[in-house]
Amino acid sequence: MRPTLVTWGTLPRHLKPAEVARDLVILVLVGALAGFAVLYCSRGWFDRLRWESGLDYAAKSPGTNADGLTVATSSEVSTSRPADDMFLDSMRPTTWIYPDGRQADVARLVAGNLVEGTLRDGQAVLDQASAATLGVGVGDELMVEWAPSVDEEPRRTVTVSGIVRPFHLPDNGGNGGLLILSATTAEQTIPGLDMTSLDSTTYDGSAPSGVTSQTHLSALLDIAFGKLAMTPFLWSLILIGLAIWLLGVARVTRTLVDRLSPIASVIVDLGQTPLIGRLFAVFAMALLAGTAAAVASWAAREFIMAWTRFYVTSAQLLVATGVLAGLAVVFTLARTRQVGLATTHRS
Amino acid sequence: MSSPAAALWPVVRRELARLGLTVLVGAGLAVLLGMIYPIQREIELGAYSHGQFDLWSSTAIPAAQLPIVDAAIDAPHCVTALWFTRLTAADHVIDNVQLAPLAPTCDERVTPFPDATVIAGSRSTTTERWIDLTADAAKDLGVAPGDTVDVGTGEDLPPVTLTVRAVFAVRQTGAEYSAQAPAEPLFAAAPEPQEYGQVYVAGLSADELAARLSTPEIRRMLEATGSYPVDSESRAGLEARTDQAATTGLGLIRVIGALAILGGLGLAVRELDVFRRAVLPVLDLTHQLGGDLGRIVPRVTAMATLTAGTAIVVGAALGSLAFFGAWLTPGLPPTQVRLLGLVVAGTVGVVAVTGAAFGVHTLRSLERTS
Repeated sequence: MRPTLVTWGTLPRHLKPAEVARDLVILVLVGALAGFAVLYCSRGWFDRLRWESGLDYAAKSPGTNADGLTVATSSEVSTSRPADDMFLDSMRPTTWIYPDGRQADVARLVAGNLVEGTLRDGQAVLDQASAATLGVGVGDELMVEWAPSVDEEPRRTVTVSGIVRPFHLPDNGGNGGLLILSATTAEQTIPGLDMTSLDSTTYDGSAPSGVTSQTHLSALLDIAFGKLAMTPFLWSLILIGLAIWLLGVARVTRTLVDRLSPIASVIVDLGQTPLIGRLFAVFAMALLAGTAAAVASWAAREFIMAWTRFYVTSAQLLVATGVLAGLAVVFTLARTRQVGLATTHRS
Repeated sequence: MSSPAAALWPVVRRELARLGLTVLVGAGLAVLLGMIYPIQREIELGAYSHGQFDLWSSTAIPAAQLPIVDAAIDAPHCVTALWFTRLTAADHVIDNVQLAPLAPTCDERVTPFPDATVIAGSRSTTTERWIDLTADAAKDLGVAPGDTVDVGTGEDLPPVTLTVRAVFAVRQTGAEYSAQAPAEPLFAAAPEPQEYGQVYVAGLSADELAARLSTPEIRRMLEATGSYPVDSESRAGLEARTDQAATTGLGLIRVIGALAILGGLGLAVRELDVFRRAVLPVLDLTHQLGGDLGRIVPRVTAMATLTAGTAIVVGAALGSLAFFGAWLTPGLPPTQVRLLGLVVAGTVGVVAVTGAAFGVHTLRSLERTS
């Protein structure tokens, strides 16, 4: 018998192209359903976890304190593309307004979340989801207004100098957004903005009396497993999606095993290791499921972005593809022990 | 079956079992995933999409003045109070429930608890001290029609015990907990003075309603309670506002519904193909041993198609138990049962056609080789 790798080459010939094509299609179909469930349900949680992990601070507390970096927060600023000056297709991102002169500190705080550009005086930083929805990028103009304003004065624009990862508040269902401005830029571009009524958060400052500050680690744990973690309902949907994916994988694996077992047994009888058939089955399944998972997740992401207007990051797409493909490989490893062992058992 | 065909049975039986089990599990999972969001949307919008009222108006009518308002409106209508209260059943408590005590003259057809959304019990059940609940409230209270619920009437006041009459798959402007009950027992237990705060009307325009509530007597009364002029909102307006705030958009429903149908159907068709390929050599052998292909192939095909079709129906039924049992959603609205039935029937139809096509293809390929 020739060496193992050469023997390997004989195995694909025993797979029927029509069956492989059929199984690829079915894996893409059930994978798209699973991918949709995984991407849609975990979107808000994934983005929040990623945003928090990209921040650089030791502790934060609600309220203002002079010895830390205080960021005022407004939920009443609307944004739109300059061509849409009636704000017909506008967004309502959370707006962070930082004190003048603290640009370097804010840049350090959000450095891990910056995906393009940088913070600049007199300009704004926008989150990736809003940027994609509004169709603006670094260097483009963005129109902003204070939503409660009833003034008839023309809306102002601000230049986007940077893009950060998607940002969602815990209660906005994964449909958030973020705009970062300095206090002077905010006052100049958002007429009517009432700075006195804003909530604020202080990073790395001493907490006001009666208020407990939260460490970065505990904030992360809160999102990952604590009170901001995904709800059992969303986990149920994800698990149902993964179950239907595994059902498809199980049936395709079964066909693969049925096709490969006879020839793998012959190869074992000819002196090769029983592992060869199993390895090939896992390799074939990884290729098939990996391709299907990538196509399915990509399609699911496109569906989500086109039909629900929710943004799904490439990072989450990669994670979802990895989870689907990884599950398929682990499942195949567990279910292909019999490939190539039939003769050995008989003997 | 003839004798050669009988030898075929063990192989067919094993493949049929695989086919049935896979399609059953696939259909169940596809129904679970594909129906969640349509059901949620139906529950969120059902009060308005199936509602029989045309207008809703927020006002303030002293209970004693109800007869003149009833006489003035002169169209199907329901005047209700609006309480935010606590409901208790055994050891379950839910707070901030939007409870509508209904005036004795209320025409229940025009409340935001439409007949088309009843999922348990019936409005025709006759009991004086009844309460209708939304599915979320019934689920979290752990009650069903016939059970009793204690309704809070005010601080330091004894609650009123009412019997659950019906459960509705609705939410009012997104609020999970709401209920309606006759006003008499509630007003009798609550402190005076009592006031009605909402009017639901059918068959009138906003201007007509405003005009009918502008007689000098009613105007004086409404001005005294600070609710003149009467502003009303259309049912379509309420539905649009609720839709905007809803957690489930039509796009989401269409995508996940289409993916679920394609995924479930794809699995069923694939399993039919696997079955066909698995039994093909055995059918060939049976034919060579004297079996009549014209009889055996249609029978085997029919068995496979029947198994797949039955598995789809049973799988969908098992999947929908999660909704009937209020595990994944607070309930399964009747309209969604019909939708599910249509989708299942359509899927079974496609599977039947596919099965027949596979049968014809199998017969022809066997005849060619023989």
